[in-house]
Amino acid sequence: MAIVVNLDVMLARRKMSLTELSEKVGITMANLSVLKTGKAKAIRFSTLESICETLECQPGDVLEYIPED
Amino acid sequence: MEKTKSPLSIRLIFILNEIIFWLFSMVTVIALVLVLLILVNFFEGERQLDLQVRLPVAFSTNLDGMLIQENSSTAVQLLEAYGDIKFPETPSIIAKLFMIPLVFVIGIMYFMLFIFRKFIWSVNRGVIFESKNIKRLRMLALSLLAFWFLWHIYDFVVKITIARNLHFGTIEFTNNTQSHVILLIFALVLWVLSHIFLKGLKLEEESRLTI
Repeated sequence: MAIVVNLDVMLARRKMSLTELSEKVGITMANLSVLKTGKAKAIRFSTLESICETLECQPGDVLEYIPED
Repeated sequence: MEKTKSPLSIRLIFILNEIIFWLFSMVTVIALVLVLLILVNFFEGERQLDLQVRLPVAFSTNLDGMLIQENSSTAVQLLEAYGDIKFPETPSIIAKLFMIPLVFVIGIMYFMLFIFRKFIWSVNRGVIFESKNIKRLRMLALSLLAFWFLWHIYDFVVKITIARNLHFGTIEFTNNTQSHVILLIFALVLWVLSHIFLKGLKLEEESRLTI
């Protein structure tokens, strides 16, 4: 997919683990893992809002558009 | 995949289907034993077989009768009907000929019941929108279509070889046959249902992968 989720990059910058994010955002580890590995088909605004709030970032920092070849 | 408790109606269908499946399995075994006995000429000499088969063509009669209701009666005529014929002390060759379609009918019906059993098992467990279920629905639809088609061939063969050569004093055989259109409609409904399930599977996957 052309939309890349940079969750791992943001987590590394904030020195936060996936488990910690999972607890703060209230999303299961399984769902966060789906999001991180790029298997997700869609993301709810509420989820994005929680992630941005926790990581203190903008949606554009988490999601990136990279055109496919 | 998330498994939920199935509704009461599904559980009842599941139980009913189990009963029908095992009863039909017994019938299948009995029928296969009968076929085997006919093939080895078991019904000869003192043991005679009286085969009874349904004729696919209608016969015309001119029987007068009455429709009697509470305070009135109306004259009616029986013009056309479907019925069975019996071969007292059935010749071996005729019995063998009728066993061929019987084996086909039992085979297809058993296959359909088996597939439906697996489908209803899956639905009963709460696993509904699954690729295997879509395949099962398609197989059921195709089996019903094959059944409908083979039934027409059987009707045609019996009509040509037997019904046209039957001679009874007071009744005459017509060319009218049954279309069994309900089977065709049911097969088409199942085929459409498989497409609905395919759409359901996509939606279910999308919902599951929406975080």
